[in-house]
Amino acid sequence: MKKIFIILPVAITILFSNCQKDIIVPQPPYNSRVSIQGLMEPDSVPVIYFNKTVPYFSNSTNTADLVIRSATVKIINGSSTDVLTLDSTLNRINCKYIYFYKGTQTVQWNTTYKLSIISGSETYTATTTTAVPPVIIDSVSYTSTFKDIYGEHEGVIVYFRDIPSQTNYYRYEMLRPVDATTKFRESPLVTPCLGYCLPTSISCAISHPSSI
Amino acid sequence: MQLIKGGFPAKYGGRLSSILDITMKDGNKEKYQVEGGIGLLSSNLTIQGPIIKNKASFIISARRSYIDLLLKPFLPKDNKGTTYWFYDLNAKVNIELGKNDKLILSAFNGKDNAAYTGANSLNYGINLGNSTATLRWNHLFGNKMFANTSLIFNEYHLGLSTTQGNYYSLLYTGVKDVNGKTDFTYIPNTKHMIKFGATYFYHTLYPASFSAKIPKMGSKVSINKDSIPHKYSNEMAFYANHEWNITEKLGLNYGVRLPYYFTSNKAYLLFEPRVTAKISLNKTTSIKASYTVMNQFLHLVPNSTASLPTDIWIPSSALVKPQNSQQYTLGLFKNFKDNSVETSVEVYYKSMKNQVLFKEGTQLTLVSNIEDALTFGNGTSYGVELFIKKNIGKLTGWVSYTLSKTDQTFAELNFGKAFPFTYDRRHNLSIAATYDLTARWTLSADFVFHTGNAFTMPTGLIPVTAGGSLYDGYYYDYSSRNNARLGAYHRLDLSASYKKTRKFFKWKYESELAFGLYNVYSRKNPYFVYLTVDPVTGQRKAVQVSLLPIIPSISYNFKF
Repeated sequence: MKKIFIILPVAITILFSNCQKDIIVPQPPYNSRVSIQGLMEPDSVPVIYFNKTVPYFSNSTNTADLVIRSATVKIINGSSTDVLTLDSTLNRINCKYIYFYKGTQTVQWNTTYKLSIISGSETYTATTTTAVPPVIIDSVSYTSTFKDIYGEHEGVIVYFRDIPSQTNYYRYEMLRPVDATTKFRESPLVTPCLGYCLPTSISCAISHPSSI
Repeated sequence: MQLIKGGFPAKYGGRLSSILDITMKDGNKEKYQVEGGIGLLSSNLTIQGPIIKNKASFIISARRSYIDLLLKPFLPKDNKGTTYWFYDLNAKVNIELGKNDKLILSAFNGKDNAAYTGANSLNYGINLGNSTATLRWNHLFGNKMFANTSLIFNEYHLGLSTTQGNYYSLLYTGVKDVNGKTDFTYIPNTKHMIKFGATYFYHTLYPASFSAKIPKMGSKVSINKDSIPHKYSNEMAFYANHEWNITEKLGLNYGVRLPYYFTSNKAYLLFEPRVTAKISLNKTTSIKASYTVMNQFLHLVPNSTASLPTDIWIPSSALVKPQNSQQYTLGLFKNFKDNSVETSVEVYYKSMKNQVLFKEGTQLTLVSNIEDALTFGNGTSYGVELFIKKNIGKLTGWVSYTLSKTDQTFAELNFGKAFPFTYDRRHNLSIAATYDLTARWTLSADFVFHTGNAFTMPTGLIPVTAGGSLYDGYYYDYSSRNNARLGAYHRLDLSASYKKTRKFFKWKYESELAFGLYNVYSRKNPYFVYLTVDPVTGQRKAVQVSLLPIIPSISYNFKF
């Protein structure tokens, strides 16, 4: 009987121990693809993100590494052509520069635009329109607890009439002005780029990057 | 227990794949018997005997694992959510009502429950169970014909919950079947055996699936199985089958099955011819060829392309057509050494229509209409099976190897190109051996190896530059569907048993002391793989979860 009781804890302890391990999943060599992301927003200048994808396990996910710099990016509106130039902005939360091609001509309502990108021997084109019929909003209300696939959160509920025969998409923009009900976080957000840091933080030493 | 892999007789239907026909053991009509086993990880007990001597008998057996109870004190503190247990109960009563009539009542209930809590906020829980009850009446019409008429109730459910990182998913799939059937067997002489009958199923299915981001506040959604909408359907079938020994060297088994499936707004009447021919080349060699058509009205749909087992059952409907297969097999069978060694080689080809999968990007909620998210395609499966079995001698056992390929093609998936089926297994090897060392000592070894399941994982990515918070900041490039494989599964089990007849007061009983080693070299076989980001380094990585490393066991079995 004594032997049984020696085996018992040994068997049980090893049963569910070390159940996880990091592995390398064999994958064929990855060929980067082109990624084009853009938004034509009326009353703003066009912004196009033209990057190459990287292997899933790659560490290089900064757009500074991914941007395809030598492309010719144009937004064409009839006889008018806006040649976009490479620009960047600093994301002050994660301290990363984001690269994009930026135009100079403001996007107009009720206009059809053609995108043309020439990169090496490849040409990529797309067409879109800002001539989207407005929909009538029936009502708008606020809820503090709204459940959807993104979990439970507060939200604004908008009721409007969709046109059933059309395949269309809607984009909402919600502006929240600062007023007396707005609550601010008690402690300042600390990132090296925002210029706030704790005196003991190592990040003080690398704050305020000086150049792009 | 009988496994039918091809050349299915017309008696069987409703599935495209192989058939495992299980018959429960009858109770002893003459004397009471108690047998059981007390083990380190589980125990079992079986009691059987006559209710009325030589007229009615019963058998009851029960088994329960208690690793969950023993586990608690020894688990690391951060691993309290990990557990595993199962139990099953069997009962059967046989009553001879007269010279020509027999009544059989049987029931089974079994449940499995496993939970796993790992690092990286991974939680995984699975709960599945099956209950069945059968009332069967066996009637002899003279000495050439008999019939079995059964009323069967069957219930199955699978509940699954997964939490990983910022996301969680829930799944529940339940099936309830009420089935009535009658099977006639007519044997006019030794050359002919004719089987015919009818069956009727009333299916009730209740699948639900949900996946979402974990809410920043408030509670997570849970699935209440009682509130899942039920889907009802009816399945009938009529069949006739003739087994005909035309000559000593030529045998034919042919038949037809007519399934009729209907719901409130759709009906399918189908035709399933079946034929198997056997040619004996000599006393030890034969060739067998078969052609069968099968239909399946209940569909098992993988709920995700991840490596987790997340399949749900849905019924056929006006939109979801029955799955259909045509299977061809050809086999060569050869026995050696006075039939003590059996060998065979078989090839098969199966084409499948109306396969069902979810569309790309499907994210179900509890109010989703599951059918709206489905897409349909075809599949093929082919392979070769080799089998060697040694029946006689101190060393007995068998070796089985299958080389196969199964893929699917869907117009709306993988750019219309063929991709591997989730359970496609290129290699499948099983070896089982038993060696009688002495009259009392027996040694056994089992080895299994098979290719890992296919699953889909991203091969590339790009940061989302606008509205990225909805996608956790990245768009993923998947290149192709089921583009990755779990590692191969292989395991060696060893056991040794010592049998002896012993005395307990005035009773003699047979005892067996069994020692076992499960997963001898503690292979970390993949259960599933998930992708995560190292919280410290920010490096993306794949993590494999394995269950059941080496497990020593000891049990004491007895039979009065």
